[in-house]
Amino acid sequence: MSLFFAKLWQALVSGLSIGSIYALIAEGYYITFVTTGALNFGQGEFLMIGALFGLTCYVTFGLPYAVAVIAAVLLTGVMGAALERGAIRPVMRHALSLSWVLSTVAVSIILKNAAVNLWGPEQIKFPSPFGEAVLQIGSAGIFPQELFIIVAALGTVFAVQMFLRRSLLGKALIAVAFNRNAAAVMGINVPRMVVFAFVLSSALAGLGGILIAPITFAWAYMGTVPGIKAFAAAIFGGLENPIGILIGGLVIGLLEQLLGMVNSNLKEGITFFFILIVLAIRPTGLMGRREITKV
Amino acid sequence: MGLSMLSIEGLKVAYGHVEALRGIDMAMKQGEITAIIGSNGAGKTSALMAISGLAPVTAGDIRFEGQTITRRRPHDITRLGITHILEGRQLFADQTVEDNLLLGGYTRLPHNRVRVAELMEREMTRFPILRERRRQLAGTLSGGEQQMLAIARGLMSEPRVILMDEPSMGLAPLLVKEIASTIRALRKEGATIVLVEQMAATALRLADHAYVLENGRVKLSGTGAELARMPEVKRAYLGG
Amino acid sequence: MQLPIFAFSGPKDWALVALAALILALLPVVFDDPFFILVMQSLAYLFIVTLGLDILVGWTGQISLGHAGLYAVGAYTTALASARLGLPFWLSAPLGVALAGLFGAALAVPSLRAKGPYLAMVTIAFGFMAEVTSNRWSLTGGPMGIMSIPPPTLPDGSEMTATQYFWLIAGVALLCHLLAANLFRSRMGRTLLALQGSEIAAQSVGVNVYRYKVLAFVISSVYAGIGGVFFAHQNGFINSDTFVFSLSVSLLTSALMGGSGTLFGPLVGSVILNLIPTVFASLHDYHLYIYGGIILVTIVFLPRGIVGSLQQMPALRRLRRPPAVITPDRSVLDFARDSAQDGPVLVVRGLAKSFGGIRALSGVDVAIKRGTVHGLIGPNGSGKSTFVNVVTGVFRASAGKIMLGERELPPQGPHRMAQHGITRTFQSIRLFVDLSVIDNVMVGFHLQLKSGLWAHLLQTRAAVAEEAAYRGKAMALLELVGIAERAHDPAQNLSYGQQRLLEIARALAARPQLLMLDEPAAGVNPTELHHLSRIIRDIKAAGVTLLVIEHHMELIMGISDVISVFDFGQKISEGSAAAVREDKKVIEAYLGVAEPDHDGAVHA
Repeated sequence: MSLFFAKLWQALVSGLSIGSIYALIAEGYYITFVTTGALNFGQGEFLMIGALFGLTCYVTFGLPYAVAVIAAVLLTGVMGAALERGAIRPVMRHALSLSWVLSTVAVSIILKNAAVNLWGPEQIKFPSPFGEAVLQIGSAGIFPQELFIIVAALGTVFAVQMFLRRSLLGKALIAVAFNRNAAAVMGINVPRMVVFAFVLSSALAGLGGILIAPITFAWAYMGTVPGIKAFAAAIFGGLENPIGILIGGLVIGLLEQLLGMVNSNLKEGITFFFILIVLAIRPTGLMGRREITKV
Repeated sequence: MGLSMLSIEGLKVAYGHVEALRGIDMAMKQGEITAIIGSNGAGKTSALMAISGLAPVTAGDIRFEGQTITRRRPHDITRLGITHILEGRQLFADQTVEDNLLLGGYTRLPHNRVRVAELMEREMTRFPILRERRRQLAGTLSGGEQQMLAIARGLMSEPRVILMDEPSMGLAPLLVKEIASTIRALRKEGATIVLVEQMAATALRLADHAYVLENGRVKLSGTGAELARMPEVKRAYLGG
Repeated sequence: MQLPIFAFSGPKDWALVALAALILALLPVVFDDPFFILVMQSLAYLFIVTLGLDILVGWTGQISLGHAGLYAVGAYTTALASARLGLPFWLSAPLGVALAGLFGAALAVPSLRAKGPYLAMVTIAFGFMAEVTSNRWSLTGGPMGIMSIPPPTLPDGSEMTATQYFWLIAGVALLCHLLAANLFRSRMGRTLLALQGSEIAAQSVGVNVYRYKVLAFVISSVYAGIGGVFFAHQNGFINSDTFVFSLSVSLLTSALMGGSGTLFGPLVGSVILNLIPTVFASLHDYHLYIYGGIILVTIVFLPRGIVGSLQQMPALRRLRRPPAVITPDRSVLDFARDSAQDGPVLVVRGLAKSFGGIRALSGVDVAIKRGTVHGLIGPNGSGKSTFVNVVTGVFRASAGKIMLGERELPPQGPHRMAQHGITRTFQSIRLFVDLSVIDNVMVGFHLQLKSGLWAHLLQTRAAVAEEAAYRGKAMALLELVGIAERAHDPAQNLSYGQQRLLEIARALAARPQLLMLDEPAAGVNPTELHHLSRIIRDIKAAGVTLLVIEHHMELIMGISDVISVFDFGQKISEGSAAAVREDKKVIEAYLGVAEPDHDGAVHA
């Protein structure tokens, strides 16, 4: 019995930590979706770059973990600006409304190739800055990195929301998201804000990567699945609802880990089955805005 | 008074294959109210959007105080001193009244917070209801309050030219009157106003000068009173 | 040559088919190399999958990032049925195709209402579930896969050679292409393209949008299943490595790269994209750069795809077959004449509609008499369009009754309302932009056209004759609104005023008892305006009842028998033009406030 509870505890903590990573990436989807109607399908590859570049800074260059985190966030942020200029802006004028899906996927494919060239195809161990020792809480063994992930990721999600709601720049970004024309006639430089949205979104993915790498591995193919699952989290909550997205991330993380206790095959498929059911019932997500057709 | 603040020559606007303006000429004099009337789809809104940089200009020239502003980006045009109070308010509904006003003063931020605070004070004096509602989300205001906020937000950038698109839309008669007196007051303060209205009678009464648009062209122009007396205007827009 | 099926195709078409068949037959003979034949087989079945995907994406405007899953269903079904159950190829193969079709139908359910990224998620989720299932399920063998799938057999039971197998795949591919071409040219393709243009406008002329989306999903899945089946029997071995997200991406890229919504796009796209790994095999370390780069460059610089961009070139446009001359059939408006009885065609009682807390309509009563033109005026935002939207079923009323003659109608969608004889035009124009002018009207005939899917797939003589007859009727409607000479132009090339007229022609094709025109004169020039009021009179004379929303006073006062005036979601006045014009309330609401301190010239 106590073994069961130990496992349950571990699953809960793992679920929350992986779920808060999903939420972190998914908030990035939210920021660009509300400002441009597009999002980066290669968000997972930005996470991967964050992890691998962080690894290089932390292990190869021996920089402190905090510095490595900042470096990873900066690099992915700059890449976000490049993504907007190279793969989003040129296709948003096109008649085909979902061109950005393929253009961002194309960028992600290129990034994977680059990662293999630079870091090789193998899985690389990322040493946790908190050591490898398992924290014994009651009968449950928990990695300190997992607790750190929960605090750091959820703290960042919260900080980003505060930034958007309280700071002038954040308010301007929300204004652009709500109504581009109205924001433009306020004197807000809309194209620049759109770049900023992609910078912010990509930096969040980069942060997610360097946070999660110590409990997984760092390698070129690490990003695809978390990227897609974070997308599922955003869709679950409703792409326009940051609170819904947070809940979506945590629910999906927990669901996976708890079902993983029963059967590891279930763990892999459940997210997608779940999201199909949700969308069949609520086509704009559980907490999404209902669409009113304007005629 | 009398100087041309804003002048438009041969202006054409097209959205894809659809031409909204087919070459119009207009001049707006400093300190005057210029009204643009016409039926839905005549091109009134497109004319304002071309001035503020929101509509795709395919030909022609727009000059502000003699300087061409054609195809400049909307945020630059706002910085030059033209504000556009958009059709249907278009407030930032999920932000507070105060935040809407703050964003209205965006061109002065973040360097001149003091001036923005003064301006906010000025607008809340102009429309006291906004002070009461300052912490409410803009989307929760009534129609009349929303229109006041839209005007106040537009005035936060201290514009010399005010473009107003259908400020009376959806408002009860009493509120229409109130908006009309606000517009008159703004004129007294020295603003140059371009007013697009569907309620032609109200607009012509306010206007020093007016244009009638039809199918993307200027059909008639003259003083407000002149136009109001013309039979074709009465028949088409005043139901006479 | 006039066959009972493929009746549309002339000698030139058959000559082209024969040429294609000849080339395909000779290819493996001329280039008799095992590797080459293997590559050719792969190209042929991947082309089938891409073509199917394009029916969903390029025609219907949906998106699928999970097509690898449907491909997997076809492959695993035939593999298991033949390797484990010992079914012969000729049984296991159709089984795989059928099951893929069934999965497609199931996948359509969560896809019907989801749009944009949400729809992308539905298909991604399906693809990943298929990926996980193939990877983890003991039945599918995971990465170990299914070995010893029996090779395809000839009818006499002997094994096919690689060349024979290529002939089979290529033959099926050719057939798939011909059937798709038939669909594309027929009512089915037209309706699917219309959905992409505007779902709501398609509904307004009676198209059941859900049914057609399911149809597109099923056809698309059947094509994916065919591809999967051929793949499974190609090497005698399949495993979970094939059916991954990147395959779905690659399929979608082929469709877009070739040019989605063009018949030959999928062929060009799938051939080019699937040859890349073969051609660049030596550059293994960099092939993802090349692949990603090609996708990006295509999407950014060739948004219409290769074939789509070529079609835009003026030189090639001139090569197109000139459209056949169509004799107008002017009996098209006769339908309304018989129904000329007395009494109201539509009665609305206490109709209310709120959005959130805002009341757009509150307690409106309107009765529209048969055979009249009923005007509806009021300031912007007074609830006129909401009224039309509620009556045509776009919005569900918050309260109130809608009665067609004596019969109360339950709340139902726009396509059902069209069946009851209520149709409309739109304030913000909603044409099917991917279709020609005359095809826009043809979609309007949706409820009257009887030929079904099979008739159109095979182009039976009856289907072709029906189509030709209705083209004549469509031409007559275009004549009526005065744009017959533009019949074969793309609808989006019309002027604003002509687009409004086309909407009227399309709505008339649906044989309405009540036709609702939402601001038909907005943006229309003075000449066209005169023309418009004549058209409205002609339609009335033909026996169709009209409700017209308009701001243009001269027009509305001239054509209306009765005018209702709305303000703040309520009816404030009703009567003849003269009566309404004198009504104080109307003057105040509509023309602005009467201010006694002014010169008075305004509101005489």
